[in-house]
Amino acid sequence: MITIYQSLLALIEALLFVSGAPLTLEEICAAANLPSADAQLALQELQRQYEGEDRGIQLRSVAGGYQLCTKAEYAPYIENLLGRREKNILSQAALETLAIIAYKQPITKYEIERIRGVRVDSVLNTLLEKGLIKETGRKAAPGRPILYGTTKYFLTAFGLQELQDLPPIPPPADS
Amino acid sequence: MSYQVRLQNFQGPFDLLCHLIEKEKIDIYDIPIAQITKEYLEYLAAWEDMDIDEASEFLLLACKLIEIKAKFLLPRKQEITQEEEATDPREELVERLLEYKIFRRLSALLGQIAIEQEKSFTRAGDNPSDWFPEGRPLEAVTLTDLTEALRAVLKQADCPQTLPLREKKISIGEKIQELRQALKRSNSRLWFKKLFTKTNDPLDIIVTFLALLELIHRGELKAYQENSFGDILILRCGE
Repeated sequence: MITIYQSLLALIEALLFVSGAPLTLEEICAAANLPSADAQLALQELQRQYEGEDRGIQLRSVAGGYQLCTKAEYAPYIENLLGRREKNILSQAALETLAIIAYKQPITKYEIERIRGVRVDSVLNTLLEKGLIKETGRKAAPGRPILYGTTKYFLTAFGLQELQDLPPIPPPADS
Repeated sequence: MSYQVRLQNFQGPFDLLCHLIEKEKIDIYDIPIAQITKEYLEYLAAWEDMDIDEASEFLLLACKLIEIKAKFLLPRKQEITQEEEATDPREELVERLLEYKIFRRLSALLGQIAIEQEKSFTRAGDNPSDWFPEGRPLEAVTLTDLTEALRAVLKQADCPQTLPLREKKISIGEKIQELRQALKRSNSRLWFKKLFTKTNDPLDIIVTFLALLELIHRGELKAYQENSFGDILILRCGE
């Protein structure tokens, strides 16, 4: 029994290893031909094992799935290995726009511009190119303007399991 | 007046206004509109090489501030209804500023999260199915397939395999010689329409026509037309 269980962990680890993007429980179950209760137990055990100090990898729950990633404390060494990467940090304008979309989605360009007080065309293009936002439909309003929302990749990039995990909106006086 | 601060460093008019309010430690619910308008306009005045495209949004808020200030300066009606009294001209601006500040704060939080996330590395190469939801568009397509497809399209479009390079240019002088010889061959008489049956090159037609006019002008040729829209007979003079 123990060996079967151990090989189950190994199997799921193998699946997670090949996938860069987070795998959902359903994807894991389908590939491994497992009932979801077993897969869930195995994932929890894997997560626990990776927490050990002798491991450089962690198994995180993100964007409604599971993903292997390195532990943050080893970032400087990884950067030594890969060379100082061009940081993918977003500009202040992009972050403001992304925050508005994340909290108020679905939202039109005009509504975003109304909050920010500036035009956001080029910033929207940047966010679309980076795959952080997408068009989610059209608003039933004159001109049927495009509505924008965040993508699954947005959740992954910000380490969120779902949109509810976004930081809470601060009270106005505190902001 | 902090002339060192460049306006371009602000994310927009609200960002600048928030900066001024924070700098002066002003209560956002009771903005001294005259003071803040003055400071805001000083920032705009210090903007060197103002680009109107960039500046328009800042100018729009400047107008709004001046409008609010004007409303305060105008003498109020004596008989103010209760409803009117309740509205502060600053109200809409304050609401928008507060909302903007919330998102400015949230964007800072998102920025911090992003920096933390940058420290965790995932396996390179994302799941291809994320990028191509309908499968890989070029899977099982070879270069030969593509060239074959192109060939088929070109065939269908009936494109000539070779295109003629047009270099020949006929001068009016040459054309005059040609016309003289043609007239000699045809007993000094030619039908106008026949002159243009051999070619459909517009340049050739124009040059032929100009050569004809030139010869008539010189008095070498004469043209006769029996009736309107009928063909024109061209004769050599003296025949």
